[in-house]
Amino acid sequence: MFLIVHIAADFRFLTARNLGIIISHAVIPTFVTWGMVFSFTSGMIDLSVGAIVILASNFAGFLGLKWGYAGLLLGGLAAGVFLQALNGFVFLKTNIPPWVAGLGMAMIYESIGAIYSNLAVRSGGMVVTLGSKLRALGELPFNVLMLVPGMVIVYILFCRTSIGLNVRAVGSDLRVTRQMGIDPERAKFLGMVVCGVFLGLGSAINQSYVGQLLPRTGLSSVSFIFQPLTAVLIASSMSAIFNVVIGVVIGTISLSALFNALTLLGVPSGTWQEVVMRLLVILVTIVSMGDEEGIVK
Amino acid sequence: MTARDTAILRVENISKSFGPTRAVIDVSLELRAGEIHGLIGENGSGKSTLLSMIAGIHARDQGSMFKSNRPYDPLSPAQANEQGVSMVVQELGLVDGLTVTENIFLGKTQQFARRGIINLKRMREEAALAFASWGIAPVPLDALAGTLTVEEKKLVELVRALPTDPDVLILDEITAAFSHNNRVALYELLAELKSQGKLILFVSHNLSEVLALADRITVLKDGEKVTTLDAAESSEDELKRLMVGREIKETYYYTPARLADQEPVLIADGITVAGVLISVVTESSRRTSTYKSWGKLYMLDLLWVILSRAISAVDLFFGQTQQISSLAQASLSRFREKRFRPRHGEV
Repeated sequence: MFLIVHIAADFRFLTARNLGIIISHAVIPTFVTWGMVFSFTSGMIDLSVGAIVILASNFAGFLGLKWGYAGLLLGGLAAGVFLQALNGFVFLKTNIPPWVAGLGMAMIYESIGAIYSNLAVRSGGMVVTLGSKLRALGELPFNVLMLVPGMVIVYILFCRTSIGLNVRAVGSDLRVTRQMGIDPERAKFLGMVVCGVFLGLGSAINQSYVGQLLPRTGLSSVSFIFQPLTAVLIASSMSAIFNVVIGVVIGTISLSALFNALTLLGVPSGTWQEVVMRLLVILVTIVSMGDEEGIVK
Repeated sequence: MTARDTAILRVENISKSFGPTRAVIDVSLELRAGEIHGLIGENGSGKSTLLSMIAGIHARDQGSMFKSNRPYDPLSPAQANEQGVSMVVQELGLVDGLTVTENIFLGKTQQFARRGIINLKRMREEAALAFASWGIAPVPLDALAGTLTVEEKKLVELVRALPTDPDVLILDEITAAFSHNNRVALYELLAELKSQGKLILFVSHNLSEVLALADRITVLKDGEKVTTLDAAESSEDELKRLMVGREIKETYYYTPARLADQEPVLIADGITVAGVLISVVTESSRRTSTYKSWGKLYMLDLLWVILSRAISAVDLFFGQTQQISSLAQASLSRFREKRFRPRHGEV
C-alpha cells in the first residue's frame, strides 16, 4: 500500500524527509488524543477540546513571549488544566449531557478568543505571534522527542495510577465502580484535569509550531476534534493488540500519513481531505462498534 | 448467654420499598458468629434486597442494624467492607474493562501504591496468592473481566470478597454458576471460614444444598420473614411449604411431566451458542424464572434476545402476547451477555 502511494506520488512518500514530516504532524494530535483518552474513557464526551486548544495556545504564546519556553509550557498547562477543570465542574454539576454542555463551553471559549482578538486589533496589535522565537518546540527533532516522555507519563497515569484505573472503571461499569467505593464524580473530574494537562502540552507545542493561532467562532473549533477522535477510535479498535497509549500514537501517525499521502496525490486539503476524514470517522466507528452487535442494552 | 449476646449481626424491623413495591417488610434476624445461615424464598421474596441492605448496596427505609452489638449503618458496600461485611452479589459484579487483578483490588489500590504509582507486579502476586490460599481455581489474572465466563467471574468476585478477611460473608446465589468441582471447593472454603468464627449468609434456590450447608435457615415470603429454623430439624418438604405458604406434595419446581398436556408457547430448535447445541426448548410455565441451572438461564437470555430482535418479543413468562419494550419489563435474569448471541438455528 505504502509502495503504491510512493510510486503514485512520484517517489516522494517514503523518503526520510517526508516520514519526518508525517511523524512531526502527528505530535500535536497525539498529545490532544492522549488527553481525550482520559475524558472520553470516563464518558465525558467533550466537544470543546478544539476551542480549549486555541485559547490555551494563545495563552501559552502570551506567557512564552514573557518567560521563554518555560512560559510557553506553563501557559499551555495552566490554561489547559483550568479550562478542562471548569468543563468538568460544569458537566458534573449541571447534569447536562457532556457533549451538549461541551458545545456550550466551546461557544463561550470561542467568544472569549474573538473578544481577545478584537481587542488586540483595536489597540493596534494582533493576537499573540511568536515570529521566529520559541519555534523549536514545534519542530523536528524536539516535537518528536516530546513524544517519548509524553508516552511514558500518559502510560503511567492511565495504567499505573488510581486516577487512570478509576477513570477506566467508571467508563466501563458505573454501578460496580460505585459499589467498590469509588466516587464516580471525583474520578471523572480528575480524568478531565489530566486531560487538561495533555491538552495544555499539545497547545504549547501547537503555538510553537504555528507561531500564531487566530481564534475562531461559529463552532468551527469543533472540527478540530475529528482527527483525535478518529485516533481514539483506532486505538480502541486495536486495544486487544496494543495498549491504548501506543494505539493512539499508531492512530495519529496513520492519519498523518493518510493526509500526507492525499496531499502528495493532489487531493485538495480542506475539501476532499475533510470528506475522507469524516468517512474515516464513520468507518472506524463501525469497525470498533462491530463487536458490540447483539448486546441487549 | 442470650442469642442477642452471641449475635455478630442483628437486624431489627428492617423494611425497604421500591416505589409502590414493598420488597422487605419489618424483618428481624439474629445472626451468629461461626454459623452458616441459609436464606431462602421464592423469587421476589426479598432475599437479595435484604442482603443488599446489610452489604450497604441499598439504604433501608426503616429499622436498625447492629454488628457486634454496635450500630451498623453502611452507606456503601465499601463502608460495609471496612466494617467486615463482604458480599458476592447475584448479578455480575465485575468491571468488564478492567483485568482480573484490577477488579480484585479496585478501590483498594493504595496499599500497592508508592508515590501514587501502583506496583502492578505486587498486586498481581497478591491476587495469585489470594486464589491459592483460599483454594479457589485460578483465573487468568491479566485477562479482561469481560472475556471471562460467568463461572470465572463469580470466582473472581469471591476472591475479591475474601482478601478483606470479613467477619460476615454474604453469598447470593453464587453456587448456581459453579461446576461440581468448584462447588465442592466452595463448600470446603465455607467450612473453613465457619471454623474461623465467620458468619456466612448463604442464598441458594437449591434447597438440598442449603440444608446440607446451613446451621440455621430463615425463610422469606413476599418480603416478610416466615420463620428461622434449625437446618438439622428441617426437611426440603417443610422448607417448600414455608416458602410457598401451602403444602407441596411433589417437587416445588415445575417438571416436564406437569407441562406435558400444555401447548408450548415457544419452540427453539438447533440453536448453537458458543459451540453448544441446544436442540429443543419448550416452556409454557409461569415459573420460568425459578429454573435452577444457569445454563437454562442463559437459554432464556438467548431466547429473549432472539425474540426481541425478531418479533419485538413476547412475554416468555406469562404466555401472553404483550410487547416487551425494555429489559426491566421482561424481568428475565440479569446475565445477558453478547456471548449468548445465537450463531445458527431458528425459533
